[in-house]
Amino acid sequence: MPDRAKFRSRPVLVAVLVSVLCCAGLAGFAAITVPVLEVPLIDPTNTPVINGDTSDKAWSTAKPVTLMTAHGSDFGGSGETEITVRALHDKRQIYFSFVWDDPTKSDEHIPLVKKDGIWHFAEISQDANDQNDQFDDRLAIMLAHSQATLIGGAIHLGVAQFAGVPKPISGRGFHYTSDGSLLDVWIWSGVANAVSPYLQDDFIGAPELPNAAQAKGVERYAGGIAPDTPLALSVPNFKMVQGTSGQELLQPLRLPLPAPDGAFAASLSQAAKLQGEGGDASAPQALTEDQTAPYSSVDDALIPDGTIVPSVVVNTRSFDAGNGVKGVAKWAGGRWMLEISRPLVSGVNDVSINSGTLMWLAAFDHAQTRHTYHLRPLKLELENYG
Amino acid sequence: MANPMKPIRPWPRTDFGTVLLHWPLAASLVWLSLTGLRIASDDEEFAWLRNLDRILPSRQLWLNHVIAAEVMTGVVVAYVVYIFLARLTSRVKIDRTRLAGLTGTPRARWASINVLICWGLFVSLATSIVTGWLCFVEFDNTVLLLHMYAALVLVLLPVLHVLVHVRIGGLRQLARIVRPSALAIPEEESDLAEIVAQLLAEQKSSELKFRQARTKSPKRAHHA
Repeated sequence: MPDRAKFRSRPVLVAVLVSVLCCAGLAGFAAITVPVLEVPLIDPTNTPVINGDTSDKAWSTAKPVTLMTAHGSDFGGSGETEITVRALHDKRQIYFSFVWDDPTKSDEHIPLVKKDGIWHFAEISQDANDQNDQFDDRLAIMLAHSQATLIGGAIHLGVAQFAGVPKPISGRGFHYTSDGSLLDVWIWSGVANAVSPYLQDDFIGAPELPNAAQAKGVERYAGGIAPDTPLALSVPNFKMVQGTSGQELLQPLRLPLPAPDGAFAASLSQAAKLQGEGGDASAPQALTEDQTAPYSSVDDALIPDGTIVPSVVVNTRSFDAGNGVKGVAKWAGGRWMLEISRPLVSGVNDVSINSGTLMWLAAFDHAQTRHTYHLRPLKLELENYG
Repeated sequence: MANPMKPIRPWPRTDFGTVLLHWPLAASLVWLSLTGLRIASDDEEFAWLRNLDRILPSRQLWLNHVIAAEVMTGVVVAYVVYIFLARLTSRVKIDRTRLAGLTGTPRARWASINVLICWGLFVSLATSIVTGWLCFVEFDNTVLLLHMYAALVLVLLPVLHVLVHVRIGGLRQLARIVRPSALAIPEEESDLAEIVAQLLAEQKSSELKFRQARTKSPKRAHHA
């Protein structure tokens, strides 16, 4: 058996060749098994209604793709949830439906509670920047052009990042891209989108330079993630002030408008949950700018103990100029259903969508930062487009 | 001053293939450990790993982790092929003699312990590689947890592997891994029945040739 002898006489060479073949096979497998989301072309007269109800006939033509997302917080203790995605387009708009399991509907956002005449955060954990309880459910959708192959290019874990930049308050890290490339991020929020049809439209790019307040650590520095326009969908509704005896006190920035008869309780019950008797647990846990007025100690004195107001105020002004992402969600039977639409070609700091665009999804179960994720993106394939 | 009467003991060497495959394996293991520990440090239960913040990488964690995993997978495959082709499986064979070594002389005991550590490495490597690629394809928390624990074992066992080698022969023993030698592939083990069969076949063949020669030679004589 001379061939066998030859084969055995060069074990290193044979082993290295087998190894190279194995690595090439793995790389090839990774490339050809990228999950693909087919996006059928539909007639513009047959588009789905964006209302959180996915029973529209148009959706029947879309092939669903299910992704397992994991490593998040809660979701019944598992930390993972499957998200089923479908998509359609009419050459002008793209429509998405997302369905994911979430055993609990959470629509609070670290609310402020008045007790003994003083405002407090409602039962929050020690780490004020890594809440996993009094927070709303959210879904984040990230889009990128096809050069990115794995999640991670925009995630930089760790405290020690780079010189001249504040440390992350949560201690977990920042979102930014090292090469300055741009990723589009849409965030549907259980609180904000209970009163606004527009999703928060952010982008992730190169890290921003911190402003003076961020450099001092007074204001949160967010790395390379920022809203597309200065008009954020929701803004914090509190600040810390010095009390009469020098202690730090929490103070809302805006208070609900009083009802015509001057009673705050009636007004609050329309927009914010009231503790105790007369409370309206089904009311959305959000206040809009139109429903609020800037804080005044006179109005504050009229608000009874036990009142809860949201810690964010939602901006309901039109975002069409820079933000065309609209979405409505419904929760039923332990499952969220979200419908979204956006122009294929969009505005500043957006990723225009065409065949080859990559998509990642992250679900938050009443968690501030601990969302689920998946490594490999969904690759969009649009019928008769791009 | 060296004693001229004392015989010079040459530093031991290891076959070229083992040396060649050890270093990319070690490099990929270090890089996988650093990126993996950083990824794990984001978990609430592993937040203590943030104490290593200054030495853990931060950029393109998952991409670097996957590239290093590909290198490790390739080297492990190469090593398995190599030890079979080079007939070196006896180095890591666990048999009665090896187990008896655990209660034998110190050298035999440490050599046996090293083989057991090698098998621990093989199992944790196989588990880490399989669960790691499963996580890559379909992210699942149960598989991820298994991957994390297998990887933690994989970080610890190479340290023990090195320490045991130090215990066996000190720095001279460790230096083997940087001193390659040509591979001398041992002959295959002889099978008595096979040898007898081969001898019989050879005998039969020579008898046949002899007979053929005898039947041909008178003719030649006749023609002559």
